Amino acid sequence: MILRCLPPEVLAEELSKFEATGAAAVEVGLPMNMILGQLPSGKVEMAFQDLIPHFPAGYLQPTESIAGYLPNLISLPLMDVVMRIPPDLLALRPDQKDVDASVINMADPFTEEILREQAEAAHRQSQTNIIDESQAPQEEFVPRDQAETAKSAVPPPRPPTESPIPSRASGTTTLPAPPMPSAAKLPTPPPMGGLRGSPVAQPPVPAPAFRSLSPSGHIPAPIRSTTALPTRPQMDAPPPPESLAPVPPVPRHTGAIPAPPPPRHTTSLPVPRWTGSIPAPSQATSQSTVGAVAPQAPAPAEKIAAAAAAGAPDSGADNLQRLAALAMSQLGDSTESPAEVPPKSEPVASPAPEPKITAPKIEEPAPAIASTPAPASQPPPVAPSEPPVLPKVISEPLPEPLPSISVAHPPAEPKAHAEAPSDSVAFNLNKCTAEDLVHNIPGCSRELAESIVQYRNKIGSFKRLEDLLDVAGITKAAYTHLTGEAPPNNRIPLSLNELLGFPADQHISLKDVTDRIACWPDVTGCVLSQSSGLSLVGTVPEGVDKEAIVAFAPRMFEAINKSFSEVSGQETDALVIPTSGTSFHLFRNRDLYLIIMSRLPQMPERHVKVARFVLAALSIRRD
Amino acid sequence: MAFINYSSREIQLKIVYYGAALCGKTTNLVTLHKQITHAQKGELVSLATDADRTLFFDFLSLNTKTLPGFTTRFQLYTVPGQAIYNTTRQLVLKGVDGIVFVVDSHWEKMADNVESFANLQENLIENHLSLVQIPYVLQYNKRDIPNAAPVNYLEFTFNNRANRALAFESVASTGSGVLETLNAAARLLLAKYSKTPNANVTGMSQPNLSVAVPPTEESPQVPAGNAVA
Repeated sequence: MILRCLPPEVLAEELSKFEATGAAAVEVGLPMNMILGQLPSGKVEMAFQDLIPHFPAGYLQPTESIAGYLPNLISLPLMDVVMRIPPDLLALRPDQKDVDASVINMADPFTEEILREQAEAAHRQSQTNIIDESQAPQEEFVPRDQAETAKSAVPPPRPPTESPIPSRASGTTTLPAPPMPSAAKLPTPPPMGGLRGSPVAQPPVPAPAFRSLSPSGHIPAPIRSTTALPTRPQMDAPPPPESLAPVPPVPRHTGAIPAPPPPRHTTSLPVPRWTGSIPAPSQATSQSTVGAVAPQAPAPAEKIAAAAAAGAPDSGADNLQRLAALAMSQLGDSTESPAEVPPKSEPVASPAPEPKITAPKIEEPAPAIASTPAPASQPPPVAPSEPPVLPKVISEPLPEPLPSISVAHPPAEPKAHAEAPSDSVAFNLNKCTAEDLVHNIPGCSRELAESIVQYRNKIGSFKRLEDLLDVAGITKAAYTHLTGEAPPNNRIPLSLNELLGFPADQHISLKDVTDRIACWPDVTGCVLSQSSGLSLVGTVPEGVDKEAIVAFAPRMFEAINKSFSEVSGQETDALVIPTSGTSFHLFRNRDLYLIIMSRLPQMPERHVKVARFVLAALSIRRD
Repeated sequence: MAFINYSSREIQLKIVYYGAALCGKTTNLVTLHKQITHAQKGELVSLATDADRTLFFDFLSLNTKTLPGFTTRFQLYTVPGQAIYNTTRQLVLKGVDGIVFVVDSHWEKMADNVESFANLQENLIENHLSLVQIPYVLQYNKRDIPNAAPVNYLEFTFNNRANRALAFESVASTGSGVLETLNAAARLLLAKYSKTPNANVTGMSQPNLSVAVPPTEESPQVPAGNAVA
């Protein structure tokens, strides 16, 4: 090859003859010191006179005849030269400073931008699907929030990185979503008849996980979660329903009422409540467990209230039956007439109920109305063995059934949320207008309705009922009035994105979570694992066995809590294992474990809080 | 130099794609313009001839929201690689925040690459800058050609300085490695200005460019168990 670089005049023979005889394949040894210094220049040049001594005899003309070419610089073929240089001679300088680790660990701005847009596109697609699905009446039975969550929880794959620089572990892990319950397992409420709302006429049946039923008897679908992570997670949220099949009866006996056969004993309390299914003004329904709230006699049923007050304190099954019969007599054969039967179990003094629940005042305490569990069939009007569940307030005839409910609570405790289907008139909070809110929600002022709609437009849709607390102008009292329940105490006001400093509209994965935590000061690693001892995602510093750590964490909690619960009465969900080097900070939320390895034996309190919040949010997301 | 406008919550950073002629600088921008299809991006302004020679420079504006509360606008420029346009390259380098040096993997272009790299350092000096101050990323382009120069030689040639630079293999025509290169350059800039926000500032003061947002003390209390030391 080097012969081709020489002027033809200096060659002893023609180049073709060298190539034909194979002489051109003979390799020529050149001094390395003359080549290495030139490599960084992108070319290797040598004076012809320096090359001559290295050529075998017979290749070049006599030196005297080519004297004029001696000073010429001969450009050597760089590829042939470099490929013959030992790789170790091309090593980088040993004192070279490496790239800052913070730069390497930083998230890719433009990749995340693309991923975010892809997530938004997927979100829009899912929204479209939801709208289409919500138009199907049968879909109301299906809690699609879980399915939607599972669908949107999978972030788009990151583009492959070809960086020669070691990068973080790739791959994202998403939490599995529980399987979608079958709609066929849902109990079907009976058709509304003349005894609608009368618990006497309806034997208690196991309450579904959902608190409200539409007038048509459909269980409203919960709010569809279309984002991978809850924007407003709530600590220790109630677990999702295992199934929507009827729950086995669980006797609940409270107060002086003798335990009746009904598995779930709820007291009818006249309170206009706005649960996931928003009741119409004429049929506000609520519920509470016996003894939790004082029964309140609605004004139109003073006779019944007096009768209940007379016989309630020590009432037994006879009293209950008598009251039920009295309630039935008040109701008569027409459901159009308002009728209320006060609970005879606990005639505790309480604010006067409002038969007409159309008052726009929100802060005003409203009477509670309890509802009965959804009946599976319509029994005879009065039966001695019927549960002491009292009828609900029916102040006005039911209007036309509103559209199917798509705003509902996340799965909640069935005991407090059993509700008769007959009085539940609700509409889609994510689709209604301010006018709908004003006209259909008792106590909802126009300002509040507009504020709710404005906030809904801002966030896209309500994911859960607690999101109403973020509406501008709403107070806890108003929330309680509207929903019939107190605001959750341990609600996380910040979303996961806000907690970890991600853009609000960014679709983040578990890897993003652990990577962001690993970037905290003095944090050397972060791993998310399961109670099974298997790691989900995360990195650990060198010298730490990741698999051992994640397998160790659940056992450590189990061992500690055996004695810790005896001492403090509760189990701990946070452990710190300080060592001279890396300290292990372990957090637990149900079956999720977050292990943070830090150089500090005591992490800053705000980091501890965020770690707990993140874990709680992830647990909810997993649900 | 970065331009930070606190009133509009916007940060402008200038990244220049530098390299020898026909090494693929404009192709990088064209590919980026295609890849970031839905991003908030500007139009790609390119003054190239029919022979794919950039006459003046190419320009592409990309926005990200990496820094919380700020919109970071990266302005991507290329320079004409031909030697005769050195004045233009000097002009384009004015106010540069980061550099992507594109290396042609052709053996025959190696000398041009080295010459362009030297020219880059000279022009930076003309702008009272240096590669020590300016974050830069190396991109070894055209890795799909047969007999491409090995990476170890390219590293030995272009990345054997006191501070190692991030280097990426790429095939700009197909988009391979293009986004990674830009991401690395952006990360370098964000890391730099998150530590030393000494850029031009307009609007309100109170710079707070911390990339990692620490949790606030106002974080709500969570009922949880006790820590056991």
